[in-house]
Amino acid sequence: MTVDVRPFATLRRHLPGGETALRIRLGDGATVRDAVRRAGIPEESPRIVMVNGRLATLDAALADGDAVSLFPAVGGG
Amino acid sequence: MKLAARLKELVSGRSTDEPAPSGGTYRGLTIEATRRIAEELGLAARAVEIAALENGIVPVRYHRGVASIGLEGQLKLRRAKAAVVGAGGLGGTLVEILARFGIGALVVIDGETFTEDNINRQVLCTEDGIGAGKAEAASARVARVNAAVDVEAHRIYIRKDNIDLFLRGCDLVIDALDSIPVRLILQEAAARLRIPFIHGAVAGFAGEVMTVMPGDAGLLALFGPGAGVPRSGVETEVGVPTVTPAVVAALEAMEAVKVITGRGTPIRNRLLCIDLDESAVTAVRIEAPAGEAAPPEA
Repeated sequence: MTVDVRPFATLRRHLPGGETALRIRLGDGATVRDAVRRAGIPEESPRIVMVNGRLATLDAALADGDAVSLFPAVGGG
Repeated sequence: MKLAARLKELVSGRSTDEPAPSGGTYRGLTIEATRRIAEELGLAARAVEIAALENGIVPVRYHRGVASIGLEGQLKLRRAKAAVVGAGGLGGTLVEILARFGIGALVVIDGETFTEDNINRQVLCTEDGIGAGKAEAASARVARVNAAVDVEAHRIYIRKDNIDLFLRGCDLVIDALDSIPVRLILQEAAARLRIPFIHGAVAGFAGEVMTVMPGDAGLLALFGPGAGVPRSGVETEVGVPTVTPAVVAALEAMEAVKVITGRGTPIRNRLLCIDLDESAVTAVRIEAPAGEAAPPEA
């Protein structure tokens, strides 16, 4: 399957060359965790995981064409 | 003559025709007229301004806002009391905006004093104010900007066992904290006291905003029971540059105006994530009840 990984804000620094999204291929039964690893993002970094605009977890199963959005923890004031 | 009748007579009698940008005029009450009436009757300036608004007279200082939110909206603001918890980057700008908008009363809570590395983003921090208490600086600023706003300043760190004392009687609680676990304490207290809670946070050029009404999952959907709660976010690596708290505090202030006046649509059950680098705004839907959609340990 093919999924899009969209890291938000500071997580984008893990993508090569200023990209804002990464299209990756994964085997059947892959989870968000697999997509995050494949994108080269440390899996402890995203605090909020969204699949197709809905809140999800790293263990959520992915399907072909899914969009995975990842947000860092933001805690300053 | 009864006080209320005398007050009504004075605000009407001392109101003046003021020029409106549209070309016409409106009946306005100046700061000086307000102050004199308050002194003569032994009332707070806030009470005089409320009486003016009730009689269709606009305190001149609010006119440009009243043109947008109406007399009724301004009255609701003048009658409202909000707690701003944290008086740093977010809190300083929140206090500034809410005082100018004409909120009735502010409770400002912050246990810290200013350090030199606060000055890049904290509008209450000045070169001659290093070492001063942040809550006291907020109070002093409001006294200069709008003395008709009642302010309680508390130099104290909030905890589970002291927070209720400060929030009682507030119509709204606004998060301007810099600690994720303390935010959870604040949301929990607001929910328990049935007070709307406005969340905001910043890190680097990213920020987030959400309005949490009593009973909403809010931050618990992101940090549910059992999930790890990080003490802080990526701001410990990427800092907080000047623009980010200004943007997020302004959005939080707008949420406050929405909740108090009833206008617009609060950012409810959605976490608005803002990426200033890409000018991207994404709303993360939060529908799960507390504890059911906890993310992995962060």
